[in-house]
Amino acid sequence: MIKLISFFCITLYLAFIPIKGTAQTSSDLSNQPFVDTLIEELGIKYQMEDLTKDIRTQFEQNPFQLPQDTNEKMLNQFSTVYDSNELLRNFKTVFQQQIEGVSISAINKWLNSDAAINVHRINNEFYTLQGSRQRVVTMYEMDQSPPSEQRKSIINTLAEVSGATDQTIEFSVIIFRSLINKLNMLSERQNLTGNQIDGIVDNFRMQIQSQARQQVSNQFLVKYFNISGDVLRSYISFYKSEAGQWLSIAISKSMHSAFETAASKFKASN
Amino acid sequence: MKKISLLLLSLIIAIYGCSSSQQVTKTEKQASQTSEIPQASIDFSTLNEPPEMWHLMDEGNTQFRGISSELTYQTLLKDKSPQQQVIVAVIDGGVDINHEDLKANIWVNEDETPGNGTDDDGNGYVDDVNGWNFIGGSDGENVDNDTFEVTRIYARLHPKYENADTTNFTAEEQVEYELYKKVENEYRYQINNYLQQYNNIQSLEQSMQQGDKILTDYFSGSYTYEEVQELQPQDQQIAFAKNVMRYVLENDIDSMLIADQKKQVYEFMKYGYNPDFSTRDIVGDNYEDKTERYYGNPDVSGPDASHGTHVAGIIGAVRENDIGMNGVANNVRIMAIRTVPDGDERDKDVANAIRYAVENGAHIINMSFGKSYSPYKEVVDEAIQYADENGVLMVHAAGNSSENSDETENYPTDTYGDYLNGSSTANLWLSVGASGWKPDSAFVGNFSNYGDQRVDLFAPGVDIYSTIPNDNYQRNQGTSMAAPVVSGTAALLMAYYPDLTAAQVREIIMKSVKTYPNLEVTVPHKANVEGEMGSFSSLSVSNGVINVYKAFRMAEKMNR
Repeated sequence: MIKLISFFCITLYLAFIPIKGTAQTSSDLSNQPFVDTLIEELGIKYQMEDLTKDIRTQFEQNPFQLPQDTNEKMLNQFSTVYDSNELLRNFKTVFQQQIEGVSISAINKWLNSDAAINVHRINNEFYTLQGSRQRVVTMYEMDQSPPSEQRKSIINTLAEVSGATDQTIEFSVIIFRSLINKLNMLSERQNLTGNQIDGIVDNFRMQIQSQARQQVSNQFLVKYFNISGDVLRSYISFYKSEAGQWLSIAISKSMHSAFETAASKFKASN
Repeated sequence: MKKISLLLLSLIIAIYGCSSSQQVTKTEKQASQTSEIPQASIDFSTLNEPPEMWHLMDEGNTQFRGISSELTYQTLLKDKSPQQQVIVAVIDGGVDINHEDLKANIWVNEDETPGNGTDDDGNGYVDDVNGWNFIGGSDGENVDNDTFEVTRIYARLHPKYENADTTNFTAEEQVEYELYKKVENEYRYQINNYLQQYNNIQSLEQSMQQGDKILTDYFSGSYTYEEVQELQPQDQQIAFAKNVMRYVLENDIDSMLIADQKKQVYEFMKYGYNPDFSTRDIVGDNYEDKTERYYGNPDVSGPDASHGTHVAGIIGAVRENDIGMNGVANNVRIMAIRTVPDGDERDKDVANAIRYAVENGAHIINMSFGKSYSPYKEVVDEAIQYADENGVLMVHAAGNSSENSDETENYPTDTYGDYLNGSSTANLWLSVGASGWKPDSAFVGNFSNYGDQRVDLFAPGVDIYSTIPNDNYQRNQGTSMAAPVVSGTAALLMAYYPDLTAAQVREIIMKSVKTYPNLEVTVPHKANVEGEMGSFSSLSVSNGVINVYKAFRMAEKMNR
């Protein structure tokens, strides 16, 4: 049996949160600009980069203990197929296909709200250089002064209704499966059967479920440390609305497609 | 399925130079700590720790490559008395002047009446009884943390050059832009690096907690490293726990170490790399005026005197008093000049500290600090030149970046003008790298800077036991510890040979080093770079390690 290594620590870095950005003028109603603006304001590219960057970093440690040149080759292939521009291109295509009939005006109205503007600003800052610096500060200070149960409850609810937790698990599984498939192909030992790979992936899914929940929650606690409970509740209420549910599902589907496409390309790459 | 949870463990826990290793409680020590009694052959490969005063020992008698100062006291100086009291200025983060093993050797400005709020001696500083603090306000408030120089330069240049049109630069702007790119690159790298590091530490902490719980349950209580080694895991959980706890135990990682590391990274990010953090309001000077001289307060200890106190103890902890440890020098007085925050010192303050030392009678200035950028180097150069012209010997720690100082900037420097291309240098300057106690390829401290042209000599800087605040003692390592060994040696020479000039003392120190011409050592290198072997002689100008006994033999000849 091939020695496989579950990507335990992948779970530490996975959280995708479709959070609203700055307002879009209500007069801009054609699909393309709407999609472009939404993608930019929600920081979709940042989120994809975050995930793939962290996984790439772990790859660099050669966790599967492959021969160095093999690991490097796998690293390069991973970077190519999971390139954020490539992912985004696929995301856009799929996302656009879902817009028919949706209430763009409802989403626009929400995007123009103070809460959305506030959260978008924080969300964008999170991915900047100073945001990275501030993350450490916040994480440490939160360690010293843990958030209240009430705060954690709000954050957990946001993570659930926005779909962030489920997306984290799904995308981890997609990437993990693609890695196992690739490893199986590169291994000089016995190859795994499809059933065996499924079993391994299912096992992985089970293991990361609770960890992903905690990880998303931790990231949300850090990211929205300076956002009041009222604003967060406003967020939650949007996601419970029809427009919010549509947005969450559409983003999830589009990201899912993007990562599945990349996984297939990864498997097929030489 | 074998689970890996060690993906991030290999990245973890950078060991910082000058970091504390172990804090020992205060004990009474006997003079025989530094006994030169010959010992049976020592197996250095199995020795975990050297004797506390190894750095003062003589290799011929004890096998430890110390500086032979105790041998000197017992032989050459046995029937002699020091001829003058020598003042060593310690420009640092503060000195605990009330430490039981230092207070008798703290410099007192006899021309100042303590606490009367008057500049009795007219030197520009009020109540500067034991030195001065250039990083404090006149209201007594002190700077503790400060930014790094790279952050300050980034904060200044980023708004100007972030989105600049590079096609229309003047020549001056082009030069500044090149600096900006270099600084921006480094700043970005450090932020990302420390974020990754913090995540790694957190991950390790969580894994350690989980692993410990699993093994505690498995063994129904405590367990040893050997027991963990011998485990044959039957399931993923035990396999995970074994991997984690084996790593933890092998590397002596405990919760206190993790807490320290997290705190350090936190402080770097909250203060050191925070472009919006400013401390100058505390000092209350006109910071733009780099020639301004008179600001600060007389609190020479400050909020954290651990580093400076350790340095001071190496130089001049009271000898043979059955307390603590022995400094290198006797008949010495420590002038405490607080200038270095928890962050990077500022050029203006460094320049003023040097001037203060010179103008208030210091014979030697010890500078166990450094940084990679010096935006106002010209004011520091002028101060160094001032000290040079006034016959004050300056001893500088080479730095703890495992870098070749001939190629990589480290400030302050004895070279006036451009670091790499400056044409003239100060004469009374000694740059010191750190040697260790293992007489093999690990002889040079793996953190130590080196340089065939710019690092003058080596001195013991590994596992150096010395004073820390509140009457405590501790081992530390760093070129910060090596420099005061040299300062103490220079002070000792000056005390017994008062007619020797600083230039002569410097010459004696350089020419009397103990060399190891056939010794191949691991050249200091960064953690992610493969080490290379090199001749120890190629790592410094003098090719050797300071030796007090040989220095005194030479001084005696020179003094005739």
